[in-house]
Amino acid sequence: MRERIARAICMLTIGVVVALSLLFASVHNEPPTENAPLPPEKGASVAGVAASAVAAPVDLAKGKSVYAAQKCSSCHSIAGDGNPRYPLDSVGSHLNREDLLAWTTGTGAAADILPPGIVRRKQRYRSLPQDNLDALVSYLSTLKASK
Amino acid sequence: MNTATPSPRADRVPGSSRVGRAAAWIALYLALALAPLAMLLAGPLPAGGGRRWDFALALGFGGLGVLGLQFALTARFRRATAPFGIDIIYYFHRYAALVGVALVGAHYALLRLWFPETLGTANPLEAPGHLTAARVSLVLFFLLTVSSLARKQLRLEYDTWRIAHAVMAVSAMVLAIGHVLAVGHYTAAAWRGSVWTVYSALWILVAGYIRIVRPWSLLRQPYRVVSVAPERGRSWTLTVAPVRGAALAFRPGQFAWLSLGCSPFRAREHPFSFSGSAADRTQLRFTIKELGDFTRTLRDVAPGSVSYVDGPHGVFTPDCFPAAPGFVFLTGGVGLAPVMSMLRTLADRGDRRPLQLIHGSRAWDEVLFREELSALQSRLALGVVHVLQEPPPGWDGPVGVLSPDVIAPLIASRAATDVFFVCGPKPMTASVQRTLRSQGVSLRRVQTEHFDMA
Ligand SMILES: Cc1cc2nc3c(=O)[nH]c(=O)nc-3n(C[C@H](O)[C@H](O)[C@H](O)COP(=O)(O)OP(=O)(O)OC[C@H]3O[C@@H](n4cnc5c(N)ncnc54)[C@H](O)[C@@H]3O)c2cc1C
Ligand code: HEC
Repeated sequence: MRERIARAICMLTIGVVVALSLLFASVHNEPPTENAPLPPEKGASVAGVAASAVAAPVDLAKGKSVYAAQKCSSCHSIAGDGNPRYPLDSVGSHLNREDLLAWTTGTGAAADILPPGIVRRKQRYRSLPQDNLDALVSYLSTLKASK
Repeated sequence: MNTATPSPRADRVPGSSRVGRAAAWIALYLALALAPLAMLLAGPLPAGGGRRWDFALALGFGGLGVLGLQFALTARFRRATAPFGIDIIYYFHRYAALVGVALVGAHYALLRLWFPETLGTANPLEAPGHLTAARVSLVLFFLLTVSSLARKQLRLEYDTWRIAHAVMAVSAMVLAIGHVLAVGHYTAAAWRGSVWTVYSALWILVAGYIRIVRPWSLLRQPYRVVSVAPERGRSWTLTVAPVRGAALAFRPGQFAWLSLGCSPFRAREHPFSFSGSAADRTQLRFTIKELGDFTRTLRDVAPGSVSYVDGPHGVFTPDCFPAAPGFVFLTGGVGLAPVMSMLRTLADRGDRRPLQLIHGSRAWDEVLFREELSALQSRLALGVVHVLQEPPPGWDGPVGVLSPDVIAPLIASRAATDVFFVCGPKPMTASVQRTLRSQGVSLRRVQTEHFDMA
């Protein structure tokens, strides 16, 4: 008798936790606003990248590979790939090359705003070869908000 | 703490509003377990990270809420456990552990599945500290669960297990809370930070209560061993008397955690049912079977040794059923101990309701309290049936265990009205419960005491 009630309460708890989690996930992610678009599902292509590829294609590929090699995606996402917490999908629209470099390497204004642990991690990127950083910034500047 | 008058706490057990109080405690449990999730839902937060991301995160918060409460469940808060019986609270603790670990495991598994990049390497030299904390915490929670559910199969000795359990539980929880605070997305904002601090502090307070406040209050109410007397069936009756004042008040059938010859801070305590009459407030009696490391040392306990008694606990008592027309007791071996307390108490109270005891033993010489049981029949309306596995020549009573064909005819006339108390080894209690159900005894009228809680 009491065992049954105990098991029922456990089932109830797990049910309510899952239900509230679903509720939270849905209310907290709608409606999509201008600034924080829902990250597209994985694999979807980012319109902005294709449309506004200003840099030479070879640079772009190199920038992408630096982005991947440095595991930027453990904190950032592009087109829904990576950590959705800090999407970079439209950084190219609101940051110029200089700011992009500063935010990537945790220098300048970024050093004051970011938490110290993240600054430390980002400042490691300062020791990357100059042409890798250039390529990375070129790649980032192609990431524009899709119209 | 000395109680010259019956303790109101003990009196609270059978109260008429027990169901109401139980419901209130269940509501409080759910509220506290869901508090971290509710905090997420309660207000402005940094932008979401997508439905999948936020779902996975919320599961982590939910799991932590359930696991945090595990500390409170086994803290033996008497008020909170009395309406349920503490044995069922331990049972619940075991199930809730699975729920919590499943939720926290799902939190990790979904992130691993949907956002593998965010987790990065598991190598602790390279991975960020808060992710390493989370991984270690997850592994500890998993080990905690496995080592508890399979303690016997793993041949872990009880005391070793118990210490490891406490250490792992506290470390896992500290690491998990550290992980949440270090990630900080949803906990950093103004008031949330302080609510989280208070919520985490709560579990530290509960742990402090278990390790410090409770032993300290036991220390103020010491008992001394009066005697250790041999009983039939490799058992001993231990009698202790309070150093000051009256012994604690209990209901017949309840039990206590006993520490013998060591400080309560050592946490080397074992649960035993009271076997003496609840009407006797000068001493407490326990009847204990030699089973293992601790119980085998009983014979060497010298009179005068100090002991501490944490109790009373449990709802295995006829006092919860003041209106029952009669009682049937089905016991095996030392499972008779709590029932002896009931019989002695009912005799002291002059209770005339019909009682039936069906007791299983191995051999006639090992029948616990054989002589006293026949003496009690003159003071109570008590029927006694002994069931023997190895009957002596000429035995005309039932033979074997408390199987359906032995007990069904004995209880048939009482199945519709009486309250049944079942206590003994696990296979016996399980089989007796099935028999009672098949005889149409409603579950509400069957009370079972589990002697192996952990
Ligand atoms: C509610 C309740 C009432 C009990 N009443 C009685 C009683 O009246 N008479 C009696 O003889 N026995 C009773 N027991 C069983 C008793 O607690 C164990 O037999 C005793 O603790 C065994 O200790 P040990 O070191 O001698 O044996 P071990 O060989 O160390 O253990 C044997 C088994 O007993 C259990 N156990 C051991 N230590 C503890 C502990 N500290 N806390 C909980 N369980 C433990 C474990 O399941 C273990 O596997 C009761 C148990 C419970 C839960
Ligand atoms: C340890 C986590 C972490 C890592 C790794 C990381 N970043 Fe960041 N980055 C941050 C945080 C946190 C911010 C601040 C985001 C915010 O406040 O919106 C940020 C901001 C930025 C911004 C500015 C975003 C904006 O919208 O203003 C850029 C660009 C950026 N990072 C690029 C990179 C690149 C490129 C890499 C890899 C070489 C990288 N970051 C690696 C944590 C990280």
